[in-house]
This record gives sequence, structure tokens and C-alpha cells, in this order.
Amino acid sequence: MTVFTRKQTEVARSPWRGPRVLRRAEFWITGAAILLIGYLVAAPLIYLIWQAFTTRAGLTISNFIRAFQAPGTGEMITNSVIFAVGQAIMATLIGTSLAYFCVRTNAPMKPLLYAASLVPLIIPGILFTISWIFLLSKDIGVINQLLESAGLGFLTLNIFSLPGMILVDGLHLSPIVFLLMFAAFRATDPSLEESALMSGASLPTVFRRVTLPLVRPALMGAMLVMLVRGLESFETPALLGIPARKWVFTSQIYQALNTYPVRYDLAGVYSLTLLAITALGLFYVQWANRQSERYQTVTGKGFRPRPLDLGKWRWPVSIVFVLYFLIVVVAPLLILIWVSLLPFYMAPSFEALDVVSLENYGRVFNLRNVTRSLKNSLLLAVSSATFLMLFMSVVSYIVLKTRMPGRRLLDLLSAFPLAYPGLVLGVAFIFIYLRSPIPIYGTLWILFLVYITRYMPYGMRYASTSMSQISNELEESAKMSGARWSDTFRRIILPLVTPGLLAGWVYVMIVSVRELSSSILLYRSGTEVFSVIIWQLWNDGFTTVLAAVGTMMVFGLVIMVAIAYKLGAKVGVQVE
Amino acid sequence: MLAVTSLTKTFEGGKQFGRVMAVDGIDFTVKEGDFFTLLGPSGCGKTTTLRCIAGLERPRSGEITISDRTVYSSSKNVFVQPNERNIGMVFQSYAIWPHMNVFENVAFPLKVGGRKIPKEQIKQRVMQVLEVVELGHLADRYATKLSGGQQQRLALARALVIEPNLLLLDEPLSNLDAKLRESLRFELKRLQREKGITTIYVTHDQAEALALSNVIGVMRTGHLLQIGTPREIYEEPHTQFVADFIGSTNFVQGTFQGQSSTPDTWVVETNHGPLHVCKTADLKVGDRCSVSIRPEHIQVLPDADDTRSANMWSGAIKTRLFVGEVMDYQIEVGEAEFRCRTPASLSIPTGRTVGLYLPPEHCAALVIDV
Ligand SMILES: Nc1ncnc2c1ncn2[C@@H]1O[C@H](COP(=O)(O)OP(=O)(O)O)[C@@H](O)[C@H]1O
Ligand SMILES: [Mg+2]
Repeated sequence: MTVFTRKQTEVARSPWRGPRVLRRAEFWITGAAILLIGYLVAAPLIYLIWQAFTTRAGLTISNFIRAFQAPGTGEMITNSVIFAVGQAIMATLIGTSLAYFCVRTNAPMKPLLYAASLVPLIIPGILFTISWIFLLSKDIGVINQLLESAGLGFLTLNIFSLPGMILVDGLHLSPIVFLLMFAAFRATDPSLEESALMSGASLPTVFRRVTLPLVRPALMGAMLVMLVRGLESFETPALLGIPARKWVFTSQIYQALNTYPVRYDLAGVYSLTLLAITALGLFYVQWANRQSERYQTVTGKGFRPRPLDLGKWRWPVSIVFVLYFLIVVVAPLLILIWVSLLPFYMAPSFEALDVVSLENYGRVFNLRNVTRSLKNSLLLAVSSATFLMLFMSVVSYIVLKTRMPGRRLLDLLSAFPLAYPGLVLGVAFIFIYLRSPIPIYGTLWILFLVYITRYMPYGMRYASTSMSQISNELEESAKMSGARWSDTFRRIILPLVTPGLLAGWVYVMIVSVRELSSSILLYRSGTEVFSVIIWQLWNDGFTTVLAAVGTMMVFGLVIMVAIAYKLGAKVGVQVE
Repeated sequence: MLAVTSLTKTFEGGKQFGRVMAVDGIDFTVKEGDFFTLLGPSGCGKTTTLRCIAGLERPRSGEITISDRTVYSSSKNVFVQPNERNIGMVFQSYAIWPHMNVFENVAFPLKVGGRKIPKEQIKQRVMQVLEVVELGHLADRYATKLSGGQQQRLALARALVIEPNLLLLDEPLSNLDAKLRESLRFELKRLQREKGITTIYVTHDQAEALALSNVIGVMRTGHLLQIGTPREIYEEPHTQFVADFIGSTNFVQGTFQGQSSTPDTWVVETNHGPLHVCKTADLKVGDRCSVSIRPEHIQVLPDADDTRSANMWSGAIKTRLFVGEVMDYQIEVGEAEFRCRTPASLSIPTGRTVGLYLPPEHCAALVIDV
């Protein structure tokens, strides 16, 4: 056997100068990454502050005084608070109770809840809101008409109102609370509840005295996240609130930029105020999470929660599941598809069936701006997803696998955009690129920049999750096999992170395609994206064409979400 | 073959712990073809030592020479990269690359590092190694679909395929169940002996070390306490720690009194009377020391009444335990308790007073270091 005799031939190669060269390259790459991310993240903040605190006369707080003394500001703030708190309470109540019954009881039909939890991803806010207008608007709303004909007219709700806004946004965000609380209930030890049951407490008492206190930190966190999301929300307040003259921060900012003369000062002040509130909220959530992690005694130690037996309540509970699924998934989608088949809006009826056709779908492709926006959206989604995932794979490598100085800063910076509401980032980008010598205002480039800024945290999370799963020993054993750094990177690291990067790529595509609140401020004629077109079609009254466009968009998103889930499950990243 | 001189390695242990001295001045040499085992409790610095030899850690100071080639020297400022050292290594987790199949895992070392080996030859060499570890029939299998034992052999094949000067194994059997561990232990020994490859083996399992090695180095908190053949380590431990770590033993504390009247015998004064010992560590008269005697060397005499003769004590049987071919007795002598192991044929009821004879040739006076 020759295999194991000791030969020196292949080892005697010229000394490898790789590491030092590489270390220098790593140094420059780290520096460049910090500069780029730092610019993307900090420039909006700096310009917002600058804009809010200066006038032509110089440094001043007069902008703030003027903005907060403007007529209606007090009411606007009150509305914002009522709306944010209202929808947060609604989403939290619905999401938490569904999560509890889903994790802890033996009620059937649970898969419906898992399916419903995808709604925020597959039905963009603007389509969800429009569907609910079809369902609940004052006169033509399908549900209102049904109630009317059943003699329950007193139950009808006009959706163009604060309660309407709260209802729609609360429903739309409830799946996010469901996912957060699902995880929280799963992570608590059911034997704590069982021992309370054994000591004679009734089920409701156990829930109130044991379960709820155990998940209180998670519940507070979810509530706070919902508050922030409510303050950031743009679609619902714009579509439902503006007609009813119920202003909130976001719709007011939008309005300030769409009046003549444009009120940059108002937009700046409101944006900075909103950013301060959301950033504080998110930092508090992060801080609280870290605290609770530190004091956590029960870890997710392989206990399989034994579901509580609901007895005769099993079926009533599962009927609630079905109702929820109908309300959140089926009804909005059905009405959207129904409207897309009509020449003009009509409530569903047997007479209306006569005029049903696929004509709108044909018309969609003859509208030049629709096809152009489709192209724009795809181009932006693909390019920002590709750039982000490649860039973030390098960044996460630096953060996780090297000892470069500045890697913590990189980690922090890349998470920061979570605090920017989309509309606020749009405002900041206007401020920056109206003045900047970089001539990208009104081009697709500015949208590209805003997308990569907003979705950087998501890209980073996917990249770093898959990077952290490569144990050091996999790299080290390659080194011991004689592999140079380039061999290791190309043949070990890259193939292993690719599935995770792909999942992140699809996810960033999804959120880019749906993006509205930044794009709505930054598009110009010719650079409209898909969601902006839906917005325009709505404002121009092309309701049925809009429904066709929306139906196709939902269909496309369903496919992308399915792919993201498949890939995400493989690498253990949860799609939110 | 391998020489490690005054090797030290420190880790920055974060703010609370300051600096951790993981390896604190270690010296040893390994001869060509030896199976050398670093044995010690968890956290004593075995892995760190091994990784310094591999080049995966940069030591703080010292010198490492492999086959007359200095791969690390703090004084000469030499550090050869791990991929330049031609060392095969099996990691504790096996580190099997999950995106490659069995064949590709083993072929990897032959394809990287600028090696230009013809495809045919790669195939031939990989299959040859796979046959040796009896994985030839699984060449196409994805590595993650292998059982624990198969993964372990695959990791071994991958380490061997480059024909390394030196093979490093970090607790390669610790992730396997007891039965498999036993059979792979023999497999490993057979392979190593057939190929004559110099091997450094790390384990915290003394039975494994005794069964596999030519030479054992016992480590504790970054120091090498004793180096020797398994027999030497077992029969002539230098310190109480080594005696305790290798196999079970009884200790009697006492004061060293020096040479007795009999040649090659020393006396230790204990609570139970003077004890004659034939082995002693480097002790001075008046030193506190610990006499070690293994359970199987104590003679239990059911009918002895002459307890005044040297090394003869009396005690009461406290518990007894039948463990297959032998009996385990716990016998109380004054305050102390002795474990004795006798042939199963000797059966004495509990409570009975018996004589204990501690043969001087099996008694060793050791340095107290625990
Ligand atoms: N990367 C590291 N950073 C800090 N301390 C370490 C590191 N690796 C090992 N140590 C410390 O060095 C000591 C020796 O560890 P190790 O060599 O892994 O022990 P063994 O393999 O014998 O169990 C331990 O105290 C351990 O905590
Ligand atoms: Mg170890």
C-alpha cells in the first residue's frame, strides 16, 4: 500500500503569502462596508435633523413651533394615538388568543391559522385595504348590504372612519402577533400550567394566573411592535382616513408633500417626530428582549407541550378559527377576484354573473404604464435583492467569522433601518437627493437605494443566520486538508451559505415588490412601480382593472412566498 | 518526529476572567510511529495543545518541530500555516462537509491547495482509503446520511488521504455509543499499527488511553504531569492526581519517614500505623504524602488475627457488591474506607471483621497534588 507512506513531495510548495494579503484585503473591505452602510443609514437621519432644525435664516426651532401650532395638529396627534393603540390592542387580542388555542389546546383546524399567518406577506396593505372597502364601504360594501337585508342595519360600519382604520389594520397585522405569541407559548413549560390545574384551578384561572404572567414580556413586546407598526402604517390611513379627514402622522406627511406650495418644513418636522417615537419604541423592545433573555431560566428544552383537552369547547373554538380564516384570507381575496371579473363595480349577485368576463386581465397588458411598472418593479426587486444578499454575505462574514475592528459597528448599523418608517425614509431621500450632486433624483436608482436601505436588516438576518450555522470546524478541517483560503471560501463556505442567501434573496424580492410607502414619494412618471400603479388606478377610479392587477400580484406573491418558505425551512430562518 | 518545547497558549477570557492560561509550558517528544495520547480531565488544555500543533491556534511562546521542520517558533518568529503542515486531523464533531458525498469529502484534500493530481489518480487514491476504512460501498452516499460510526471513519479517511506526517485525533470516539466505541477503538489501533503513522490522540477516557497508546501524557490545568507507557502510568504514577485519574485506587495520607531497614523499602507513618512502601516519588523525610494502593492489590484475609505485623490492618466489611467475575468490598478501617477487589469465590458477609494486607511492592508514596 502506497497511500500511507510518508512522502514530502506535495507539501514542499513555496510559502504561501495569502493570509497577510488577505488580512489587508479584509481590512479594506471592512472599511468600505462601514462607509457604505454608514452612508445609507446615517445620511437620512442627518438630513432629516438638518431640515427640521434650519430655515433660510439658519439654525432654529421655529419649524417645530410652526408645525405643532398648525391647525389640526392636536387632532392629528390624538388620531395617531387612537389609531395606533386601537389597532395594536385589536391585533394583540386576536393574535394572542389564536396563538394560545393553537399551541396549547387540541382544537382542530389549526392549519388554517398557519395559512392565515402568511397574509401580511401575500396581500399587500393597499390591496387588503381596498378589498375591505369593497366589503365595508358605507353604501356599496357587500357585508353592509348583507346586514341591511338581514334587518341588522344597526350593525353596519362605515369603513371610512377611525374604527374602520383600526379594524382593517388590526386584522392585517394580527398574524404577526400570532407568530410572535406562537413562539412565546411554545417556549414556556406546560408543566407549570399542569401543576396549577392539578392544584384545583379552573382553565380560565390557570390562563389568567399562570400562563399570561409567563408570557407577559413577549406580550408586551408584541404590543409595542404593533404600536410602532401602527404609527408607521401608511396605506390604511391614506385610503380610509384622508376621505374622512381623519389625519394621522403618515397621511399628514404625505399631504404636506402633495400640496402646493410643498411644505417641506412640515414633512421634515413630522417625519423626525415620528422617527424619534418609532426608534425609541424599537430600541426599548430590543433592550427588553435582551433583559428577558438574560433572566430566562426555562430554555426551550425539548418539551413537547401536551395540548389541553378543550372537551365540548373543541368545535366552537375551531369555528372561530374558520371564521378568522374566512375574514382575513378568503373574503378579501374573493372580493378582489370578483371585482376583477366585472366591467364596473357591482356587489355579487346572480344578475351580475351575466357580465362576468376576463376582459380586465386583457386590458391590464394594454395599459402602457402598467406593463412598464411591472418591469420597473421586477428590475428593482431583482437588483436590490441580488445586491443586498451578496453584500450582506460579505458583511455577515466579517461580523461572524473575523476579528476585524469595527465588526460590531457593522452589525449595529445594518440593523438600524428597522427604525425608519417607509414614508420617513422617503422624505429623507427627497431631502438628500434634491440637493445632492449625485444626480439620481427621479430615477430608478433612488428607489434602488431606498430599497436596499430599508431591507438591509432582513438581508443581514438571512445571511448571518446561514453563516453562523457553518461551524468553525468545517473550515478548519478544510485548512488541515491543505486548502488555501480561496479553496475554503469557494468550495466550503459558499456552497453552504447559498441556500440561506437564496431564501433571503426571495424574501427581499417579496418585500420590494410590495413596497409602497417609500416609493410613493420618490417615483416620477416613468419610474412607477407596481404598488404605485395600484395606488394611481384607485385614485383614478379604475377599480376593476385595479382588482385584476391586484389579483395577479397576489398570485405572484403566493408563488414567491412558497419558494421562500421552502428555502427558509431548509436553513432554519423564519419568514416573518 | 514531533517535538514540542515550552509551549504556552493563553486566551483572553473576557472581562471577568482575565487571561486563561490554557497551555502552560508543555514539553514532550513523540517518536516516529508512536501512538501518543494526551489524557486529562475536560478543560485541561488537551484540545488547545492539539490545535497548536495543527496550526489552528497561534501559541504564545515555545517551539514545535515536525519531522525536523520547525513549524512554529516564537524565538525565530516562524509560523507555518495549517494547510502547509501536511497534518491529518479528525475533529471531535468530525466536521464532515454536508454538501459533499463520501467520495467528494475524501477527494477534497487532493483537489485543493494548488495540487494538480490527475483525476484517475485521485479516484484510485480515494477508493483505496475508503476500502481501508470499509466505506468503499458508500462512496456515493451523502455524508449527512451516514451513521455516527461511519462518519467517524469517513473523517479518518479524509485525514489519511493526504498521506500526512502526523495524524491528530481529538476525542474521535466520544460522540459514539459505548458498544461502537469499543469496536472502533480496536479498528483505530489496527489501522495505526498497520500504517505505522505517528498519531497524537486526545481523550479524557483513561480506559481508551490505556488500550490504544504506546505513550500517555497526563495533563492537568495546562501542565503535563507525567509521560510514560500505559504500564508505567498505571503502576508507577508520580502524583496522587495521576493515580486517581488512571483507574480507581485507595489513598492513605501520612508522613514520609525515609528508608526502612529492608533495602528498597520506605516507611510512611499513617493514622493506622506505619506502612512500608516499595515505590516512592521524590519525597523528603517529614513530607506529607499520600500512599496509593489499587483495590485489586489489597489482600483480604477472612481469618487473620495477627494485625500487628507490618502492612497488616484490620477492618469491618461495610458493603459488598458482586460484579461478575469479582467481588467489590468496602471495608472500614478506623475512620477510613478501603475499596478492595477479590476473586468472586471469596465471599464474606457484611459486618465481619477481616484482615487487610497491603503488599509493600504495590504501595506507592505519592506527592499530594489534589
Ligand atoms: N477560544 C477560546 N477562548 C477562550 N478560552 C478558551 C478557548 N478555547 C479554550 N479555552 C479555554 O482553555 C482551557 C483549555 O481548553 P481545551 O483545550 O479545550 O480543554 P480540553 O480539550 O482539555 O477539554 C479551558 O479553560 C477553556 O475554557
Ligand atoms: Mg477538548
